[in-house]
Amino acid sequence: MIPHLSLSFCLYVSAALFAIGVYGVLSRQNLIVILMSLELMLNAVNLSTIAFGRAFLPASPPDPSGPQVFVVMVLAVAAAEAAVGLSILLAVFRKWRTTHAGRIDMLKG
Amino acid sequence: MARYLFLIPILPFAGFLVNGLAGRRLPRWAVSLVGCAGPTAAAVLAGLAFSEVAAGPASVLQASLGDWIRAGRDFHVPLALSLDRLSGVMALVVTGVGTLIHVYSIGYMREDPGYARFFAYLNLFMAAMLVLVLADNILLLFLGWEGVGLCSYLLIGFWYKDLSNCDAGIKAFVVNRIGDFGFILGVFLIFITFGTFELEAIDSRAAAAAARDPLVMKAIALLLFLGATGKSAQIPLYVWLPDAMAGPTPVSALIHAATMVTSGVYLLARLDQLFLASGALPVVAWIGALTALLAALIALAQTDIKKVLAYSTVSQLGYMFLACGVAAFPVAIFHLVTHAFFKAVLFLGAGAVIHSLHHEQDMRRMGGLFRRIPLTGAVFLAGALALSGFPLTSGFFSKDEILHETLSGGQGLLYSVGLTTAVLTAFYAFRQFALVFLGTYRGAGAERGDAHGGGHGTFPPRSPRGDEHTFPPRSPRGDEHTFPPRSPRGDEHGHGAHEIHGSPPSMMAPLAVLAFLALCGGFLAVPHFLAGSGETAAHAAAGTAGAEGQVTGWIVGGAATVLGILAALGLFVWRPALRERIVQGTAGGRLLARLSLDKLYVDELYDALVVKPFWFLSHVLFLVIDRFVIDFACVRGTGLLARTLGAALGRLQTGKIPSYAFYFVGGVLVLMTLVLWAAG
Amino acid sequence: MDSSVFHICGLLSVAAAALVVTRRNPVYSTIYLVLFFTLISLEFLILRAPFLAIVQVLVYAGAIMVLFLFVIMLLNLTPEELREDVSRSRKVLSGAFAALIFVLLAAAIRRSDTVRDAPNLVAPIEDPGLAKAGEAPAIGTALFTTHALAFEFSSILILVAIVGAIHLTKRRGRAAPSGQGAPAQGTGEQVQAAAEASGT
Repeated sequence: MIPHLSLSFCLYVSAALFAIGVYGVLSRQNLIVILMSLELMLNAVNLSTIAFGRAFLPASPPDPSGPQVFVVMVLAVAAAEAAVGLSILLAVFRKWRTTHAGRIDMLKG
Repeated sequence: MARYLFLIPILPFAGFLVNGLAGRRLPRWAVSLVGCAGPTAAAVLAGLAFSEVAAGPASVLQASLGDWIRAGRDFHVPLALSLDRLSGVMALVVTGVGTLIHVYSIGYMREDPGYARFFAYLNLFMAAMLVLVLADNILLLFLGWEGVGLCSYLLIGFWYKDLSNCDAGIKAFVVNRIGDFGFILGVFLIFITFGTFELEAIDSRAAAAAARDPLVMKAIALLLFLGATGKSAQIPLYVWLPDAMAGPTPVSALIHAATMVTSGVYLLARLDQLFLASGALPVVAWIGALTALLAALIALAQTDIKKVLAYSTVSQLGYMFLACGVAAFPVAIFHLVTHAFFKAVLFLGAGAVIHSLHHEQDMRRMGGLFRRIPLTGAVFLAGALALSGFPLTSGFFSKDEILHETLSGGQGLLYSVGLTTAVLTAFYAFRQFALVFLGTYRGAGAERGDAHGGGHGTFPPRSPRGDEHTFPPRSPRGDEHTFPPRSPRGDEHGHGAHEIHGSPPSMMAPLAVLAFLALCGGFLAVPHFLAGSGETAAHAAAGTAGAEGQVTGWIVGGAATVLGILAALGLFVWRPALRERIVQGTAGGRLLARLSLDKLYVDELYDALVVKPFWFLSHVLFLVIDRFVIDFACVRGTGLLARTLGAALGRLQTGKIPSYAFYFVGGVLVLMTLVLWAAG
Repeated sequence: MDSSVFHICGLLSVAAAALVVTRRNPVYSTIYLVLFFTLISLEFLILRAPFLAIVQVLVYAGAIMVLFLFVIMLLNLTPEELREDVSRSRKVLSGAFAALIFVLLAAAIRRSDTVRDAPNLVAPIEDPGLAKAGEAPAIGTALFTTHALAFEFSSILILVAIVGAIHLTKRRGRAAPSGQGAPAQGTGEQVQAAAEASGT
């Protein structure tokens, strides 16, 4: 049997991971876990980007490394987001002594 | 001379500007000087211009200041004046009588706090009236037309602190507006039909246009005539004029007797060819005759000295329209001129009486004044004689000319109406004279018993109803209470000790001039002079050639006048008891007296037919449109909507992150669905 | 072999992700997240992105997850505070939303001709240049030539993130109430250090 890996499988996995990330953001109250779910979603997107890049590698001679560079950028953004997000979480915790998203209702005018 | 034509209206206008803007700060003599200088100069200029026009048979002075309105390719209205014989006569009357009334006002309004304002309004009125008379095109004429309407409103409500005066002003304005609506529709039709606004062009093309489209021409003529009925107080729009007596007496004399109200007659005479061609003249004649009769009937029993004169004005204007209606336009202008003289005398004389009696206007509290103020009595008598058409006075010639033209036009029925009115005119004129100047004084200074004794003076002597409603002077008008120029003299003497005093020379001099004109103005050959311009040569010829018919007419008319005078003197001076018997004893007399005193219930009729439904409609619209649609739905509705939406949407803003996350994901879902759906 | 490994890794990563979002204790979530990152890194390797696979492990599993663990330990949350009390209806709604997103994405994937006609992902690559596209030299060259601008922007972004993190966690003037202030002490510096580590 010839080994075969279809693009659609990669994408379905990616979509499933993304959906799980969404579920985590919506259903969890703990801010830390919500941040983790965001990381899940970012990785799901990275996976699909790499899969697309691999699938169309033969057809992209001018910039074959483009998708991977894109993912490097996403990694940088994810790192920044994690740093800032956790800082905010710490500041919030210091003020209200909770990491419970439902107990903080200051985001309104 | 044509170059100075524009100065004629501009000079009074300059007076208006000076007195209107700076009059409060000027001393009284300066206000008088400025106020009288403009009209006087205008009168001199008008005289010069007139003499120039009168020299040649068909010469016309014209002046233009370029375009007034220019729009599109073929719509342009020049700012142009023209003076021919007709407008020359009108300009002379307006400036001449106007100047005399200005001089008179110096004395009459001496103690009024609004002295400068009064002269400013009078000057503005003069300017507007002169624009009306001298206008070369009908739009400029309309400018003057509206201008005099405005001044009429301002001057009727001159003593604006009294609400009833303001109401009278508004009534005049609104009633005139109805007529003006017709007028402007007529102007539109004229422009559509003729493509021009120039009066001469319209007049000369009228016959051809009437042959082409008689219906449109009839519509134009009737619409313009509607405007004329408004301004000249004819049926059905005459009701504003009697109420206009709320203004100061010189205003009544100038605007509501001598000049402004004649502008309708002037309009008809100006566009005589148009009216001749339109075939609408019988309507004009009948409206005029009926107005003359109706107003004379109402004038019989009025108790206010100015109201009698107001109704007589309406009646005399009816005569003028009757003359127009039988195509005797020059005769109408003739009567206009003589009427301006004698009605000015009567009004100014009445003003002098009112002035002498400290603003008493009720004739039932007058009487026997001839001995106290003989000079005033004499000029008033001259006016009354002319109004009645006593032989050889001015009114005699002009009125008989009208009756003669009516008869020779083959209108027997109209003639009899006119003749009846002539009797009635003489009757009410001398009833008034008798009540004011003859008999014994029944005013505040006289004994009480005398005022009641025998019911002197009131035509229906105080029916129970009359007692309640008409004495103290009818209705909210309450002239005696509100006449503002509470002269210090009147206050000093208080009630009961009124001193009857004569009038200053500034009032008596114009009166004397006007009285002379009223008596002798009939010898001015106005119709022949106007006919000399060639338009109605046939009528002029008939007027001179039918001398024997004329003489018969003079005898009949003179007899009618004398009959009326004798009847009035008989019932009011010699045999008061007989009058009592007629009024009280016979049903017809009672009915006539009641109808006349209550002005034939025309005001009530209009109230029921027009005012009440209109008021009802307004109220319904107020409730439905204003209260519900505007106030509730639009004003409060928008606020309510915003508030409800805000309250509903505000609940979405919990301030909690999870709920925002839900909204966000929901939005993403919607967007994804849309994108997928759009992609097919 | 690559293909079967990928299939297994894919399914396992989904399972790991599901465990991440369902664990009550964030420490467990973190452990599963490390597992998840490792699995993703494996998938990257199979998809011929060896550099990214290494970076994934280094940055995510190494730096970011350590940062998460630091914070969790720092907060020292009691089981009391870890109770979430999420209502059933909210869970159902979240599930429905997530499922809807998956359905929509799947529908998009199914419909796409491009995806259907895509070549085999484990087929050998003949061109040696393309074969090395995912290795460090190629990516480094691309970063410093073609994508230099984006690279510089990302460095600015990380700088801003560092400054922001320091600003947010710095203790301002007055001391926190005693007893409560103790666990929070020093977090600023730690986060700072972590941010710097992740940035490099």
